[in-house]
Amino acid sequence: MKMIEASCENGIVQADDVPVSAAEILSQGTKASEGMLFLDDDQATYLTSNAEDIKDIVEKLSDILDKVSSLVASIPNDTIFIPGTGGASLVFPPTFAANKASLDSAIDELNEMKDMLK
Amino acid sequence: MKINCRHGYFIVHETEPGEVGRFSSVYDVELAAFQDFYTFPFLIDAGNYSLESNQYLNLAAVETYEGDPWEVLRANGFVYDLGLDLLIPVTSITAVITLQESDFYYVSSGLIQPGSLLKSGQRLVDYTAWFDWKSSTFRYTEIGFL
Repeated sequence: MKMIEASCENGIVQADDVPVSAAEILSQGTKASEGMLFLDDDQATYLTSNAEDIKDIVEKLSDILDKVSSLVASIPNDTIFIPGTGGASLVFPPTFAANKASLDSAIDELNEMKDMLK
Repeated sequence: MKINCRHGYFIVHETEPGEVGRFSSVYDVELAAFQDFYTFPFLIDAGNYSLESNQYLNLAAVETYEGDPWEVLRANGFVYDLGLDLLIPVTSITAVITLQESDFYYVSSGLIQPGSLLKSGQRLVDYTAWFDWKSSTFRYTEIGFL
């Protein structure tokens, strides 16, 4: 078996400055990465570290939880409750909409990350 | 002197001390020590893997393959050309040779170009040859086809 340095982006593995179309990519292979190409007879396998992907996801989840916490904290005890004929409704403080938008944005980013893994 | 040709890769071993040096000076053939054998200097740089479209010695590899140099040559369909001192595609060889039988081996006055064709259409790519100093001929004891 031979192990050589390689890189991968958008599903294309490169080693020794040439694309290796025969390479099987063990990760998703979308986001640019550096890794190793393992050659064994006619088998070529690309392997990269997903540690950075995992770190990014954990950071994003932490960010989302922070935003959820901020959103919950922005609902004061004196939130106005207005009973109506169509049912009860709440009137939130002015910062609520901005906090909610920030949370939605972070969730969108997390969803995008799942399609951009190494 | 034992000459092992594996798909155009040559592995030469001495059967008597100093034999390779003597052979080289008499026949003006350059052989270089490599690992535990001798070979043609050009073949020393033959790597143990090829990547499709990447250069492998003087040719662009056609297969991604890992193995001993002779296995890489086989996977790519290359052989060493004794006259050109280069790799060539084995299919480019059109020479037809006749093996002269003698007792339990074949005899030839020269080294057979790997990839040569027999009249039967078989392509000779592997052989073991022994150089006989008395008759200055090569005795071929094992032959293999593509």
